[in-house]
Amino acid sequence: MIRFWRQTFLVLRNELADALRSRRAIVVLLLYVAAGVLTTNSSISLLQKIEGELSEALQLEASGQAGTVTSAMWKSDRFRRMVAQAAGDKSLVDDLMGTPPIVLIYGGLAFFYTPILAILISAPRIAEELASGSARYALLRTSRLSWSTGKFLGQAALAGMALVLSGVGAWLIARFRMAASEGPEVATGMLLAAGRAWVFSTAFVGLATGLSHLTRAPGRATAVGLVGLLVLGVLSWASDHYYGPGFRQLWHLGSVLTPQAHRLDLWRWDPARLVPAVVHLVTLGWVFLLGGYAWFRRRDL
Amino acid sequence: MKTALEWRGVAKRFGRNRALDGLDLSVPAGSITGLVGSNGAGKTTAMAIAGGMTTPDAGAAILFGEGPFDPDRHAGRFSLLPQDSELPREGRSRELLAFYARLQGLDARTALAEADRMLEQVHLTDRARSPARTLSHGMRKRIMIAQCFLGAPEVVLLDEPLSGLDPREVAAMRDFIVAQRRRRTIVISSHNLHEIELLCDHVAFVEKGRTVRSGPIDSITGSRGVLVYTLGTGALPPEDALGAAVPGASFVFDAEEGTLTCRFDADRSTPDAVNAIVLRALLDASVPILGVARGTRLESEYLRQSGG
Repeated sequence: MIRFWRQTFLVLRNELADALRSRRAIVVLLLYVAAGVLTTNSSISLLQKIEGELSEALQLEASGQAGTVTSAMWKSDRFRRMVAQAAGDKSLVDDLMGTPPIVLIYGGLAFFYTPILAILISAPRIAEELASGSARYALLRTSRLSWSTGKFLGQAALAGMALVLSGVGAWLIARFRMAASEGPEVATGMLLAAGRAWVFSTAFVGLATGLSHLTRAPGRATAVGLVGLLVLGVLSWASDHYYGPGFRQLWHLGSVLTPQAHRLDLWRWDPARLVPAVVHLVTLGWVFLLGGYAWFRRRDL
Repeated sequence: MKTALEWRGVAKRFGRNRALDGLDLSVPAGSITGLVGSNGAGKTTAMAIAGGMTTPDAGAAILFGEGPFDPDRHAGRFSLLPQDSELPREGRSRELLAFYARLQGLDARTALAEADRMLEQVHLTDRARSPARTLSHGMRKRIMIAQCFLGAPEVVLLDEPLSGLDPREVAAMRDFIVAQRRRRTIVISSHNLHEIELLCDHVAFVEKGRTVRSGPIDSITGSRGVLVYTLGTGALPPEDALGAAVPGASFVFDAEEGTLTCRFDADRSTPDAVNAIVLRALLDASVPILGVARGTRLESEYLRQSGG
């Protein structure tokens, strides 16, 4: 067992180093940062515009920085009650409203783009090593399971690194453009949001690396990964939409299999909701990975 | 003789194509064995099965008498130069070799030392920090050969090791492989029979997924018990006199080629003794002699065997 994890760690480290040296991974890493920074920036601009219009309608003095009105609203008990009533889930709203708005904006965006970027980065990785035959040199020295696990963990580590960088970028933008963003609360919140998005992304990294075992064509692996993402999205929507009494309870299976169904629980502070969501998402990542591995373990290289 | 690697009744199909059809072959420990065969004969598949890259439909390749390749048991003891396998594009020569050495179980410092040693052996010390994508085909091939000899592997399988190398590197790699003789068991697959003859002490002819002939090279080529004389134009050797001079030997004269082949029992007479008698008989009969060679060449033996 020690040997297995030692070799897995070596593969992970090599995977990370290899990814950081490859131009494509650097580009995707920059994409993560750009996505975090640009989407946060445009969201702040939008927020500023809405706040400006709101101030004008209410004939209030407009603030030079975005977020002044939102922060005030965020702290208002009446506003919280209103949102809780509309959402129908008081505990979730309490958890969300306890988070600075800019963190929620960044987190929401990160949750949106992370699955796509995870597929774009991770899906071709194993397929291209199988295509070039370079996997053989490592597989003469380590088991297929430790190699696949190392690849998965390496890709997950890369996604984590990218999310932290994009979180830092988004925080820097918020710090200069949004009111009440200087404090450690926002910086910590951004890191926590990046962490939540990372947990969410592990399921998709697992999906991408799992699918990557099935083909020798990196382009096809990416395409299949994107289709997989779409299927999970549709399944999540359908299980939410069609779930009901009787046979419709079977749609619950859909939410078990889709990461999207556990996204909101990651924003909760209650361990009884947060921990199962984390465990579920990480387990899904492993299930997707091992699904691909089950095919790969006996295939000819 | 102890066996290092053995293919036992190995069969493998790829769709309709039967790549191996019950391959049986034993590789003696400490030998350098050449695998010779036409394209599609099954040499690469046999090597891939030995390295655990391909699963056989039947039979098994047994390593060290212990069983099929298992990376947990055999990493570092067995290595392979697979055909048509590129190095990771972004991997740097030294780091890659150190990574493979570490996967074999070496500690970080020893792995780096091994990487440096092998880079020196393949004359690529100056390219230690170069990513594989920036190296020429020949340089990458040398790194691939280097990874085979990291640590102290007992069995090394080399699939077309010298193809794509320039003449100077071919000579250097050949010397390097020959220097491993008796320290490791090496199996070389190659279409270049001259190369096999220079490098190997054992050879196996593989055709249509089966071993058609195998053994020490000198017994296959008959170099121990065969002398070939090239005679002058129009010469007619005195076959009766020769038969009487070397009892138990047989003589075949090929008038078209102008060669006289003498086959004798190498366990009873030495080539030198037989040669002395034959030369004297030929000179006594005033037969012009242009040259003498030991045995037949591997190429002609292979062509004879494969009906070419």
